[in-house]
Amino acid sequence: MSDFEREGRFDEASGIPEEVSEIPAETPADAPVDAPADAPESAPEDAGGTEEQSAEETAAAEAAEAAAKATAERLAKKAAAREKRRELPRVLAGMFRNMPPSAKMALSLFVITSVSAALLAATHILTERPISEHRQAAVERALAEVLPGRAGYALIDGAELPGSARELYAAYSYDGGEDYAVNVAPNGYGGEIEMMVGVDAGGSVTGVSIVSMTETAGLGTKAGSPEFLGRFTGKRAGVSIGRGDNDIDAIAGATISSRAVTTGVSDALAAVAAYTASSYYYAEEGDGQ
Amino acid sequence: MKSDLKSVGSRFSDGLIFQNPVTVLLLGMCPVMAVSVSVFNGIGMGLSATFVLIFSNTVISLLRKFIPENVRIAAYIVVIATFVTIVDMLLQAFFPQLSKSLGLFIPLIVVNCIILARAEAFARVNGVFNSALDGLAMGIGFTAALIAMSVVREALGAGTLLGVPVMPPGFRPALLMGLAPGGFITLGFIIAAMQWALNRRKRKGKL
Amino acid sequence: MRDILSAVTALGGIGLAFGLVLAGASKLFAVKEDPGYEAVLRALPGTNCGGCGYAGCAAYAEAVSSGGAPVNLCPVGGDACAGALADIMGAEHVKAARVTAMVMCSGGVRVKKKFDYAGIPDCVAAMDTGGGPPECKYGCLGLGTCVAACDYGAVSVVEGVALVDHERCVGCLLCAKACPRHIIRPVTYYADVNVCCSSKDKSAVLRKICEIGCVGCRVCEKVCKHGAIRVEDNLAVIDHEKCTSCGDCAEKCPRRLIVDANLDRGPRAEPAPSE
Repeated sequence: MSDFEREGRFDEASGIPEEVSEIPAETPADAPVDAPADAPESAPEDAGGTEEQSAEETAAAEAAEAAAKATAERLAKKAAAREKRRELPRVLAGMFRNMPPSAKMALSLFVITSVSAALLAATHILTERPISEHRQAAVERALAEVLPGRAGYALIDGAELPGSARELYAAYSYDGGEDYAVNVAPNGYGGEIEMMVGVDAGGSVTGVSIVSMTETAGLGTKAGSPEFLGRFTGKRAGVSIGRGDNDIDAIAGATISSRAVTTGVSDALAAVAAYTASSYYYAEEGDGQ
Repeated sequence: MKSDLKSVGSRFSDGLIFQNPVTVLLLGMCPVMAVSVSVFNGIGMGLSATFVLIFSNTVISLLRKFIPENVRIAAYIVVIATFVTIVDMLLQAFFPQLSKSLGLFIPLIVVNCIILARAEAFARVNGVFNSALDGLAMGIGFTAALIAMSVVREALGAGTLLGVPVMPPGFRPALLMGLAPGGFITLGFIIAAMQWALNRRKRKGKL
Repeated sequence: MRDILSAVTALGGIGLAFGLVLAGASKLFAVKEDPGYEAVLRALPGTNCGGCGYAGCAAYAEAVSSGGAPVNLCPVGGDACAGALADIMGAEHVKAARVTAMVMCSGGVRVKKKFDYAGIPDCVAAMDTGGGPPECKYGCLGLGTCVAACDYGAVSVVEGVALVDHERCVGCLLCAKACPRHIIRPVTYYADVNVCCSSKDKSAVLRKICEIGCVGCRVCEKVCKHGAIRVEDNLAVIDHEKCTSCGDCAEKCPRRLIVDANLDRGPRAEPAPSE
């Protein structure tokens, strides 16, 4: 129980006005009262002493008195501040109630949006590492699927990325060879189909792996089946749906999804072609193509 | 606590049966149709929406004296959107597979009618505990309806439950069930069954 | 930390901006509201059932605050609401005009049957089957169409005749609409004395087919000191404006038909003699 709570009851019981109660009634206030009382008591006792001594002592007594008064004032101020803090929520609520309606609207929306923003930013900080880790793991899984058994993979910055191509990776083999994988995200029937397309140095597809798709279950999702994706292996630039050697069969009933995957593979091949033509020249393999 | 056991119970019976948001109030149809294709998605969506419902109802009830009438819709949407975004981030970070499955429909929880309807009809005028309870009850009702629908639609439309094949070999899945018409037909049957059961109870003289 | 700050400034700024926009809009599109109307509307339960006779709570609030409509018309709000409205309008307190449905028949198992009915348990269907099983062509068929119509569980079939629980009844009168013989009527909740019969058959006919129905003997008419009960078409009818619920008619009715809720007289006071 705090001083003031005790005093509150004291006030109710004895009817002492509240201003008086702000000054704590316990020893810290009593002490200064006592100290000056002590000093005069001791002073007459020493009145018989030398002049210097009494002067010193009087000075000391006065100093003690001043210090004690200062302490009392400080404590009183602290008490007043504490009381004000208690009142604060009530005062704020009163202020809010009396605000003009436009200010109320603006203020409440401002507070709600600010607090929400803070909460969201905090959550973002909490979750961004796991999210990027998951993405990284998914990409690595896809890379390993389309270009298995490589020594290492590296993301190539600043590569030209036509169409739906998003990222270009290079994969290095133990024997020094370099192949590529492109992360593409063509638009399917139910949204983007994120895929990883592996392309070897010679410009033909090594494999296609789906990272994520939200196509119609049972229909469009067939375009993510290994059987369909396997049709792309070995195809080269210019692959499309059709009958030719470099073409693949679409899936019946999943035209749009099939077309999307084909577009993605085609864009991947174009990205690799652009990269090998740009700043890269493989003397042994002939013209970069 | 003002609410006694009986009123807590009636909250739950309302949310689950008599005022089930999907089969009685017919709210939140869009995600129900799209998500109830698989049981895994249905449960995931139901739990996410329940989380959002509880928190948004609680916060809106806490703030109900502070939000002026004229801006209340904007304020509710901000609160709801905040919690949905939090759910979205948490799912992406800790349940990435579910996040990928549900995809676009997690952000769509913001405009799920159920959440705004409960905020407007209940949390705005009731205390914090009751509002939280209502959010929980409505969320459970929503999840239950989703599970009921997705069990039927996944079993008949893909032959599996939670990815596990449950139909006898040689069963050819009915693709219709995975598409919108199948969803509406399933929902229609569920609503009819519920109404029949409730009317039978009424006829027998109970309430 | 920088992330948090930028998010708060961005979103907080948008919130503030839109708050001000809404503030401006609310001033621009402000509608002058009558404070009396607002107070009355707030006091009403807001179910918009139309039980007061007006098109919803807003219409009733309008009628009360500016049109001088009676304050006691809300059946859902009851006495509490009537009192609140009376306080707002400075009128005197009146009891709420509560209406309950009443089945004007006491026959049921006391009525002879033409035949055993084993068809669809529905009064409408039974009426189409040779005019219905009971001999009395005015009375209750007892098959529960009204029971099914009630959303509040207030109607049940007791001893072969429908009975309304006045405490549960809210006065929506869906049972009255459902009854194919139209023998369910609205009666004020405070009416303690009622003649629950609809038969216009003459005494000679009625005695043969029903143990309790009104034969039109006029004993009640002679006994009533207030002129509240008359016999018309062989059926006693109470005028509730004049009735004081003294119960004299119920005491003297030779058939023990008249219901007196205060003294629990009437058909329900004694169980049916036979099944």
